Amino acid sequence: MNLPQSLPITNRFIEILVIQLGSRSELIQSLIAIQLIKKFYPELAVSILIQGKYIKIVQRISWIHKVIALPEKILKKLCFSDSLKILEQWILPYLKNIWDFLINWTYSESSSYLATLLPARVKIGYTRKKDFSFLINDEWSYYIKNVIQKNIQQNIHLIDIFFTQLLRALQIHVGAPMDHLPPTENSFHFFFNHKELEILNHLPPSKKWISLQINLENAPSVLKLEDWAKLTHYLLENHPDYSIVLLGHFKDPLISQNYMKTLQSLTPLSHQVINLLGKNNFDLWAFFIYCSQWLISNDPTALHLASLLNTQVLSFLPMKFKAVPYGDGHYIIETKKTSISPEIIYGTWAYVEAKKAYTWKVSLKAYFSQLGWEKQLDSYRIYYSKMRPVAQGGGLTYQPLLVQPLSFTSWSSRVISDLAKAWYTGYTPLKNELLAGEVHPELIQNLQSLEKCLLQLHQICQQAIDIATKLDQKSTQILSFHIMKIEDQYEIDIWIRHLKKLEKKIHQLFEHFPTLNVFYQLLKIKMEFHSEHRPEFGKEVLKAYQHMRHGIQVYQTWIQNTVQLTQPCFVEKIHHLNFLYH
Amino acid sequence: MPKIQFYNEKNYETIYLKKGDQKKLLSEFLKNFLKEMQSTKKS
Repeated sequence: MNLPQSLPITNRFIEILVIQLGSRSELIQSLIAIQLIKKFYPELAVSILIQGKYIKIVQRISWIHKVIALPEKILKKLCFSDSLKILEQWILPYLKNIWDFLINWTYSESSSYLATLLPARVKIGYTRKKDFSFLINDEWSYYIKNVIQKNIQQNIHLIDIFFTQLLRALQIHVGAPMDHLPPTENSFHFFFNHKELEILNHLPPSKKWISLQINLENAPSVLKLEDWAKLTHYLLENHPDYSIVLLGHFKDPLISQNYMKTLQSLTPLSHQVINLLGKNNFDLWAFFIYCSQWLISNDPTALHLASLLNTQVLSFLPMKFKAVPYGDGHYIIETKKTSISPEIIYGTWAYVEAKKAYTWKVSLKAYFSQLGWEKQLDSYRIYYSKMRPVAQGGGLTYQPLLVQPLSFTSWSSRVISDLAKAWYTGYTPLKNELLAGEVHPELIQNLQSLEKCLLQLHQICQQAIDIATKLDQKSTQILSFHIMKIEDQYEIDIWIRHLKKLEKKIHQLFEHFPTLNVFYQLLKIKMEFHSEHRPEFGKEVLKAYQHMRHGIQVYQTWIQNTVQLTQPCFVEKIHHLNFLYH
Repeated sequence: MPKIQFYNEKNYETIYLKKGDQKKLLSEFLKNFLKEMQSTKKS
């Protein structure tokens, strides 16, 4: 297939194809990112390639231009050669269309082949080279491969990565977004048909709803079924203005029966619960999440769906899941333990509700001691989500509601996230968002030894920059790297040898400090030089070490700001007390 | 509302695939996709 090298493209919609062949949760996160980007570039025509089984999720969304569904159910049933024939037929119409941008947000081995096959002018995400070897074209995709897919703790929400990645590509190839953004419709009716929306009119207007999405499959030990019933009991007994919708995709009818039995034994108010456990209808599910004021859940897909539908979320998942709702004002409970108590969930929710109703200044800890549950708080981390202003780098941040000592690994994860933003978007962190209460002597000790390591690293980096500058200057002076004076050749060889020695030293330093491993991984990509004997080599090395110096500076600023939090504040001498000093 | 204009067209990548490559890519996609589906099911 030969495509013309340059096509006349003016005054028309920009056509984007997003490949999202991942899970339902990843699909919803992609939709949120598309929705965000459409606010900045309203004239994008975004099509999406998904697994056929998720067609219901996207079919009614008006801001999705075209939905392409993979017939994966048929492919799984047939033998390989028959499946291949089906696939060849299926893909044929899509090979004729040349998209302006192809964004592969699946980040899987298989999708990289599909991304190579589909014609587009700009490709982002995993693709393949001409010899079919693996290819990554952009830096955020490196970050996904080397940090997120390696399960390294980091602090940037996947939706922010998707959004920034696409925004950057559009800024480079299309231009800056419109200055005056048109007002966007704040309605989420795109998911529903008229019949469903009519039900909304029949619901009592004074009644508020809480959706409880029960997930026992992926996180069996987080909240037991009887504890879900206990949580429902707390909510019904203490908040008569709320009714409960029970959601959960179960095949076993016994789960629903057991839940109701337990609830009936706890409260006479069980009739105030709409029980939709086991009803696997997507429209119904999305509709009730949309109607609810709150979603309380440990289900990653549900909390992303609620984020998309602008429903406030209280999520509780073990740390390993790393799924957090997107947007302002959600609450996140994290636990290291295998189980969570219903009291912690209820107490946190009730605290947030009380804060909404009264202008309170009571802390969460004080509220829990009023309830008599303060001892339970120790094994949890509780955060609320906040969108950072664009001037401060944008994106989602997590503010602790419960101040607890910060581990060195968590500290490092925040630095890495800032570093990625500094490298890939040009954002320079103004200040870190740590609280004094999070800093403790053990962390300071770790930071002091890190500072020593960074100092050495900085010295080596500076030497490398000096050599690379010379190399770069020499490259501009000589006409060809194949024909040059012997003394020039000699000088270049010495510099290259010196650079290699410095690289070895850097490697050894990083080995001594495993916490810097992510920094090293991200740096290594920048230091993959193709050949030493090319005129661009000096420039490439110089750029890589300048990046490294920038990274070291980000770390040093973080250390400085963290240490400063522990130092006593300077208190101005009060003049009227001057007599005390005389 | 004015439509967005493209510029910097020289930066656009275009891909050149031979007919045989298309089949190879599709077959690699299918092989890996089925493998990935299997492993998600197990996990």
